Parts: sequence; C-alpha cells; structure tokens
Amino acid sequence: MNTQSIKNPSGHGEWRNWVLPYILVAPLMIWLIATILIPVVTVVYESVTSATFVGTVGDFVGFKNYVSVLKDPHYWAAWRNSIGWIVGCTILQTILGFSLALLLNSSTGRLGQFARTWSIVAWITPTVVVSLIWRWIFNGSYGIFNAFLMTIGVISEPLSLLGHPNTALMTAIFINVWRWFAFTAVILLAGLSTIPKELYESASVDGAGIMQKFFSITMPSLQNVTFALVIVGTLWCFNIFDQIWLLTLGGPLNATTTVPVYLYRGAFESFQIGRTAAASVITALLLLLLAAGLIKLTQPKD
Amino acid sequence: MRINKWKMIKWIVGLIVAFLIASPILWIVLSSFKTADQILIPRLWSDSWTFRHYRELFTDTPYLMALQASLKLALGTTAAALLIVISASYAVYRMEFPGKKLVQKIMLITYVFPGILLIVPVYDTMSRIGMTDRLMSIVIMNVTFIAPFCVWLMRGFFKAVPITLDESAALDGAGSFRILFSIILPLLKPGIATVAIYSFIMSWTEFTFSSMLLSSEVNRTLPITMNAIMGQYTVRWGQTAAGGVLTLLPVILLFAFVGKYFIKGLTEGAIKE
Repeated sequence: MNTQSIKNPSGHGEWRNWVLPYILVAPLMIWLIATILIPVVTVVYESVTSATFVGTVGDFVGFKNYVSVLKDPHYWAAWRNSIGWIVGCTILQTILGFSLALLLNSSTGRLGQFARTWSIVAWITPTVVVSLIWRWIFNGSYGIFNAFLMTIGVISEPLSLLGHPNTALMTAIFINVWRWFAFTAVILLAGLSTIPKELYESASVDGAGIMQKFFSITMPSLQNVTFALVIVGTLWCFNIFDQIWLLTLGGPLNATTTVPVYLYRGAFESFQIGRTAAASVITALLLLLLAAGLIKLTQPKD
Repeated sequence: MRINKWKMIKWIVGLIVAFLIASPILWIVLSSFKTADQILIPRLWSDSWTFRHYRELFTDTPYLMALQASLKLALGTTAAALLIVISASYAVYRMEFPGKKLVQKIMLITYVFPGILLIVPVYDTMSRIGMTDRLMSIVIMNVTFIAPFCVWLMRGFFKAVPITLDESAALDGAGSFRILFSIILPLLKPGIATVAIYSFIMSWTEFTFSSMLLSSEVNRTLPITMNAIMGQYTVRWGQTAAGGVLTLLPVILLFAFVGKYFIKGLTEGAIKE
C-alpha cells in the first residue's frame, strides 16, 4: 500500500480506486479464512492429539489416530457406502435431470413457464420435510407405497425399504435424487438455452432425427456444463449429511453410514475428537485424489 | 407422424415427472387434514377431515417459536450474504486488481469444500468463543457455504450490464461507490433477487450445523424442532404432518411470488457469456 502512494503521490482519487477492490472483497475473504482456513488448521492440529470430548485439549499422540482410522473396517465400509451414494445419486440425477431439462426446454407458453418455476418445488422443500414425507410413504406398516404394490399384486408382504440393510441405501439415494434432480435440470437448462436454434434447424434440413440431434448437437454443447456438474455434483453429493441422518441415522446396521455420517457419529456420539479429526484429514486427502481423477476422466477434450 | 410420436412421448414423460414431483407433497398436505382414526390408513383420500392437527401444532408444540427462530436465521443469513456477495462480486467482475485470481481460487475451493469435514473444529472454535447456542453462529456458517456459489451466480448479471455505463459515469466524475449504488445496483435487481432467494432457501433447510450448535428451545429452528417432534416415542402423525406442511409453506409462499425470477436468474444469469 505504501509503495503505491509513493508512486502516485498526487492522486487521492487514484489511491481510493486502487484500494477499493480490496475493501470490497475483504469481508468475504476474512469470512472464508475464519470459517474454513482456521478450522482446517485446527483439524490438522487436533488430529495428532488424544482429545475426546468436544472442547477438551488432548496430549500429543503422533500418528496414532491416523493408524487407528486406517485400520478401522467401519471407516472403509463408510467409504464403500459413500461411493455407492455418489455413483447412484450422480447417475440417477443426471438421467432424470437431463430428461426434465429437455422437457422444459421444449415447453413454451403458460404451462411451460409454470413447469419451469414449480418443477423445482422438491428442492425448496426442507430436508426434514422430505424425510418425513418419504419415511411415511415407504413405511412398512402404513405406507401408501407398500399398500399400492400389494393391491396391484407385485408383492405379498410389505417391504421395509428404509429399514432393511439391502435396500436402505438405494432408497435413500432415490429420495435424495427426488429432492435434487430438478435443480440439476435447471442448471442444464441454462446450458441448453445457449445452444443456437439454427444448429438444430440446419440439422433438420440435413434430415437428422431427434436422437441424432441430441447426440451430435446437444451432448457436445453441454460438455462444459456437465463437466462442472460432475465435479461439483460429486463433491456436493459426498457432503450430504442431513438427508441421510434424517432418514435413517446411518442405519440399519450401518447400511447408510456414509463418511459424513461416520464423522458426525465419531464427534458427537463416540466423543473421539482427535480420531475424528484424523478421519477428516484422511477423507480430505482421498477426496482430493477422487476429484483429480474425475477431472482427468471427464475434462472436455478441446 | 414423426412429430406426433415425439409429442406423445413428451406428454407421457411430462406427466410421469409431474406425478413424481407433486404426489409426495400432495400426500403430506392431504394427510395433515385427516382425522386421527384415518391418518394411518394407507390410501390417498379420507372419510373425514379436520383442522385439529394444526390447532394442536400451535398449542402443544414449540412450532411458533421455531418459526420465529427460522425466520430470524433466514433473514439474517440473507442480509449478510447479500452485503458480502454484492460487494465481492462487484470487485471480482468489474475491477482489475492484483490478487484477483487468488480470490477466485479461494472461492472455488470453498464452493466445493465439503463442510462436513469441519464439524469438529467449527464446534470447538464456536464453543471457545462462546458462540454455541446462538443463531449468529449458524448465520456465519451459512454465509460461508452460500456466498461462493452466489458470487458465481452474479457473474452473468454483471455481464448483462454494459461496462460502458460504468465508464461514462466515471467520465462524469462519479466515484466507484456512486457508480455501484446509483447505476449498477438498480440494474442488478434480478441477480440480487436470485441470491436472496437462494440464501433464504438454503438457510431454511439447514440442519447439520444447527443440530450441533443450537440447544435452547428459543433458538431451535424448524428443522431441529420438526425432527424432535417426529422422533418422539409416540409419534403424533397429525401434528407431525401439519408441522411438515407449515415448514414447507413459507418457502412455497416465497416461491409463489418470486420463484419465476429465481429460475430465470439461475438459467439466464448463470451462463451469459
């Protein structure tokens, strides 16, 4: 700052213009440093201590916590669930999101406008309400989903979809996708609306069918959007804790204990702060690897 | 023939998607009006209807208190996010300054950073500085995870305002602050609305940090209170359903007025080159 005022000793206004952008970004930067950077440093520090309850200070224990986490089969089981969760959510969300986006993109008029606005209603529904609704619908004894399947004769015994270890994760994935796919669709819609209509028209003149147009025009044009969606979507998806916790608390038999649930439990149920901190650091490193791999895999070629 | 075939597929897919989206919400709304003897029968319609669950929700549960806490949290978060996002995005999208790339990088990292990895240190830090059980602590965490996405959202809106406007105003001798407040801000209204709605909705649903940081009843927001009502041993389904509907209703009302602008903002603002 000093050098600048020496360079321009005359310009009071210039000095103000020079410093203004920093004043404007400072609140955000200070905010992010205070809530992200400081906690990251703290978590690394805590990971080598024996702290138990939240708020206590532990002794230095070196890499003991790290070894304990890496040896814990529950931690790796949580990663297996997380991978299943990410893959399931991403695939289902992309398929449904794409379908809805194409649908909305070709709908015009009042109905189209209405559909654009209100298709996102599931996303504005708070997660606690989402889980209330679906826990009720899928309930084994008084859920309408089972009643319906039994009436049409698909099943003879009611299924406890969220209560059985084989189906709980899949069901939770479905419910989470229900909440998110319209949001995905709207982001894809943003990409769709940038594709010039003339491209489709000239393809029609050349005799291209709808499917052909989709694969030769739509898909390539959306490459950048889908790329961003896959990377951002994967990390956002990984981070989801509340929806799973509100649906199943990570059960039954840990079937829906993803890494976030594992961490939350370690901190607030087992009170192993140091160990949970170590698990957080290991998780961050693994996520970094995952993100790097995904970028390599899905990066648009040109 | 060909066009008709696709049109029909479009309608069928549309109806399926509409059913998938709307029916669960319709289900909870209908259930909340069913009488106690009907409410657990797994069918859509009921023989008798009642407002009783809503009356009981107001008298027997802390719903109204939670509504107040949720409103405070959402309005506080929105106000803080708007101030921070508008000023930061003005600098990032309208000014050149050394370190801009770094600022954008930091935002990108926060944007994808899984907040769940920070639950331990955040709780620790908040208790050390005496911020547990205060709505302010949730406002702070909310803004962290909302702001970077919102700055990115503002990009398109800034691009839509021609930079020549700034330049001619500057030639007339207007300072940067005056340019921002009297010329650019009014033109950014759609973007500001989009950011405000996004912030409101995100803080309305926030559960993770609230559940670990808020403890006393006056501070418990709707997601926390609703989860407590749901989790009691004898589940009172009527009150639970009514509470669910009235947790959803505020955001639906908000959306009824400004949802159109939000979708427009997400689809048009975000992508403009």
